Amino acid sequence: MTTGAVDPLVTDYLARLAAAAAELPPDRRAELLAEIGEHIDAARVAGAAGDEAAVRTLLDRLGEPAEIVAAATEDGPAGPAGSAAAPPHRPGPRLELAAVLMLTIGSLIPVLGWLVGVLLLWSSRRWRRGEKLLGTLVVPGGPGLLLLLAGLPTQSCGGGSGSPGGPDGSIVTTPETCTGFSLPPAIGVALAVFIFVAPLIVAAVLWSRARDRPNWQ
Amino acid sequence: MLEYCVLSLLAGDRLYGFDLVRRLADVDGLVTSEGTIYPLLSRLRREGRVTTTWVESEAGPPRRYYSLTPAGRDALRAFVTEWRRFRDAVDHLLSEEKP
Repeated sequence: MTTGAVDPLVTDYLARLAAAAAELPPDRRAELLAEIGEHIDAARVAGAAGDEAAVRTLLDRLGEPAEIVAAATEDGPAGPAGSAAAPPHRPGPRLELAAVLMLTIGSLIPVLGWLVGVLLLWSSRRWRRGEKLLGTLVVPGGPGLLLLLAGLPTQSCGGGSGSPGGPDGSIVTTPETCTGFSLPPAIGVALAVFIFVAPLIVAAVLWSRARDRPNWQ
Repeated sequence: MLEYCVLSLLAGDRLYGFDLVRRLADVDGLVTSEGTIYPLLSRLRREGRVTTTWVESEAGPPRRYYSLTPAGRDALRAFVTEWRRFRDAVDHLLSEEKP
């Protein structure tokens, strides 16, 4: 099934994996080496390692030994096996912190930043449905919405001045012309303050609740 | 996310490592290094969601097959419910964004 040029590739790969896995507990290391070895054996049987090119592809697809070992160390404490009775890993509310930051500061990235915040918000297990709706619906777009609104055409006025230009030296007046729309200043300012402040308050409330809760509601 | 894809693949039938990994890799963008699936399987086994059995193979040495435990099935079911809720909520939001 395999040629002489192929086995050294596999042997070398497994040796590099064994060296990289030295930091793992012995039973986990043995298990990982066995499973990767079985993967390569099964690939041979399936005809996916017939020549040198195929073997190189197979090993490339498996990935760098360091990468595989990194995945093994990420996956829980490197304590002795049989510690399955240990309490499950409880990560801090990092996801929730990211969500709150994206919904507020992140919303300065137009549309996208806030949408990412909403995705994070809904993927959290620390918030209830009502809280997620609150975080989503109180000012969709977040404080960053102000930036977008500032980019809209607002009212601008031109003309309206008189100038001496008539053939007989009389004053010619042009009527004031305005384009766009505007809100009465008091309402505009109040709305802007609301758009800016309300999401921040909601974010603060969400954060304080997430911090005190376990990872599953 | 990936671990639930693994559980989902095993919900149908038990699979041996190479077969399972290749099926996952066929889903575009899901797996970059196939070898990293094995540490994931190891953790699922330690958590009691997946179990392994050796089965004789017609071609080649016996194979280690991975299958779901009842706890794995429960975990998958809970994830599917949560995932659908999340997906519907996002779909709903995105459809509101349309001009």
